[in-house]
Amino acid sequence: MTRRFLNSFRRAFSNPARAAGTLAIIALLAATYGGPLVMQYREQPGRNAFAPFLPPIALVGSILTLMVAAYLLFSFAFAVDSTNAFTEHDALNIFPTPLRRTLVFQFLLFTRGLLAGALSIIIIAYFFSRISRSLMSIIPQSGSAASTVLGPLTFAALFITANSALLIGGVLCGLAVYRRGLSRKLLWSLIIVLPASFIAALLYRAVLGTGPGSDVLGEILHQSTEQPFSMLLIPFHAIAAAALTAYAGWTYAILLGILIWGGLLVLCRRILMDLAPSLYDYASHLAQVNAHRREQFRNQTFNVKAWMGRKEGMNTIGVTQSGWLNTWAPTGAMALFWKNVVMMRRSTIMSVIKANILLSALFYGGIAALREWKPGIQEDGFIALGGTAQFFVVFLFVVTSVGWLTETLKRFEIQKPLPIPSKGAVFSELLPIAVIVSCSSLVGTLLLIVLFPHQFGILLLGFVAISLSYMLMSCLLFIVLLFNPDQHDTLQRMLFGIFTVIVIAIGILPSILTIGLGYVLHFYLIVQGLMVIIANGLCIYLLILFAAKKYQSFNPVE
Amino acid sequence: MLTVSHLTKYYADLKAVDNLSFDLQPGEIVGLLGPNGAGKTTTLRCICGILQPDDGTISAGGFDLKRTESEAKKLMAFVPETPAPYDLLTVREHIKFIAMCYDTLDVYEASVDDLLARFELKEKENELSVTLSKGMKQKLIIACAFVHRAKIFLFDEPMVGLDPKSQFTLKAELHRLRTEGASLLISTHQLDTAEKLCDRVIIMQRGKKISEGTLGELQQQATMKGNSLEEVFLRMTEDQR
Repeated sequence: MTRRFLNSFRRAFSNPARAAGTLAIIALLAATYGGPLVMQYREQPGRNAFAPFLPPIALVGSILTLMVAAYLLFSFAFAVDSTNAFTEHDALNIFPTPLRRTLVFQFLLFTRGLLAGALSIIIIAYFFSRISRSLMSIIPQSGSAASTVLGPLTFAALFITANSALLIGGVLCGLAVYRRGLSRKLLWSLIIVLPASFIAALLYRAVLGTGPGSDVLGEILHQSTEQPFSMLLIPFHAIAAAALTAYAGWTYAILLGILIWGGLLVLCRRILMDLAPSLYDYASHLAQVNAHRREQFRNQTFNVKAWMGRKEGMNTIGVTQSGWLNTWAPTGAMALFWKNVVMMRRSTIMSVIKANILLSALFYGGIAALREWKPGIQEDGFIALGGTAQFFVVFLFVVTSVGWLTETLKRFEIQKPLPIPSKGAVFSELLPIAVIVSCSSLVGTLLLIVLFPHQFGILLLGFVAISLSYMLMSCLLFIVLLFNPDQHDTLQRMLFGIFTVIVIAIGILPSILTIGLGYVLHFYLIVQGLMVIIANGLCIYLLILFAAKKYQSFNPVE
Repeated sequence: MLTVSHLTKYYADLKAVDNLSFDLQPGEIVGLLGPNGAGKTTTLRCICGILQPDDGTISAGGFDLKRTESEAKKLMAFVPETPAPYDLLTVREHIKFIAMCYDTLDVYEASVDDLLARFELKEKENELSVTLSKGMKQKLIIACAFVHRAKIFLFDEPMVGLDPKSQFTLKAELHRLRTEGASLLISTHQLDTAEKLCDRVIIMQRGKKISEGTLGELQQQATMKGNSLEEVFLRMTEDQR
């Protein structure tokens, strides 16, 4: 799960647009909370949030320094692994041309790598403007008019220089590892361990320094301006200082920053020139890795291929076998269900399912623990919590099983000539995960029934509603997918992503409406349960009919 | 055994197959020839049920593909040009799965070992399809075509990707099927193979059937008596440009 999260985060920063989007969200959060923090300082001078340690200008400088440092370190880390900068199209179409290697290499690296940097400047500027609104009311601008104009320009120039230097520096590190066969793990350990140690030390000092009237966040910002942290942050502080020239004027830190980043850029470019003969070789390698990663992102079966790649030279690979699946041999549409279960057991979706089940177990475990430790909470409160947990489990499954669903389209070419009615084919594609969701939800429901035996009826009703809602959601998603089948197409992928959210909202509607109606009309729980089953069942049936119609006319080649 | 009547298929505005009609008799091998983009693959995909025709009817063994889809499909076996078996099924599981879909597990039990041996898949039987080479995948898909009681076999470029020995085995299988009374429709660009293998050929161009008949009949139509199928084909498709 952690690895999945880290991979997702890494992917977010491996693409300029996604990196900018992610940074925008982070900046928005920082601006949303950073602004009020400063305002709080202004309005409550008696409350010592940061007051005993930092003047407001230093506070903003410190926030900016840490932000710039975080971004540039990410930039460096991903340049070490700069697969996103080169594609196989570049390797096949641009590399054979007589253009200069270093020129092509840097052009591709900079246009793709720096785009994120350029967008980041805008985002940081936005963040800064949000905070400065509060700042301007308490700190007068002390710099000259020239500083007001030249400051942002210096900031942009320094930021781009630093980004360029780190991009080339990262590539050089990656290249050194590739050429000399050094340990990538060691390099990555250093990239992770050094900043992590810095953060750990900063946090440790901040926690130690937190006293009455101050908080950890304020103390972190304060500590970042103290030795030895301030010394290590000087190159990043220089960039932040450039952004604050309108308030703090020109400082020696800016000059030092120009020297450090400029010098580093010149040095890295010099080394890059010397290594020109190896650049295409390395870029081709990166393009290949990039293609594999894209495939991994799209293809649920890729884990097997990757595994095979690692076991190169071996003729056989171990295959997960299951006794009951070997002996059970259903025919007709259920054969598709059998096939899906066998494949699912070997696919990456299995680890996702396990993680989801673990998470849902944690939710239900949490509810049980809460009941034990907080006896004051009403039983209805626990039931509401249980319902929320069940819906969250469904939400998790819908979101994480999207990849599996998109994979089904690839199977249509071989599946469509089979003598299986289209309704059966659609149903058996959706059934396996629905069964898992139901089982997972049933375990949670049983646990809640043991804890609250009086609420047996309502819990069972919730279980039925949730299980059917998942099936309804996956039917809807499947239909959306049939209308947007090309997941290589950005727009179709985007549409599918947007519709996923809408589908989650719509999928639960029949259950909610029916339960609401039953509640208003004071129906017995058993009647409400039956109504939920009928309403959802009818919707599912109609959707399967529609999906089957679409499946019949669906062209897997297009 | 197979009747295709006025089959028409559009891709947006492009008429990929235009009013195509032909039939296949039991114990007959028919070659479907034509230059790239002629509509051969689309025709085969419509017949086997991957694509839905915009017009026309297809019936297999008297069962209409639209009205009695399952019955019609049970009589057909399709081998696509690009083999795409399920990556995460083993070779043996894949064959079993196809038999399960056609409800012919008895045929599977009786013939699986023989099929694996004939198509040189025995050593790979417990390996995932994803690990197979393109040629081996092609052999697997061909083996799957023999695990149910099909009477109509549709092959799209079946020789592509096969090594010479496998091509020889496949040709022998095709002859055997013909002897047993099956109908075979083979789309191919290998005109020498078509000449030796097929009883009759259909030549398509831009979605239309431009000629149909035995080699002798085609030679007569093209007034090229004694010429090879390749020469006749080139003349006919050139004439239509």
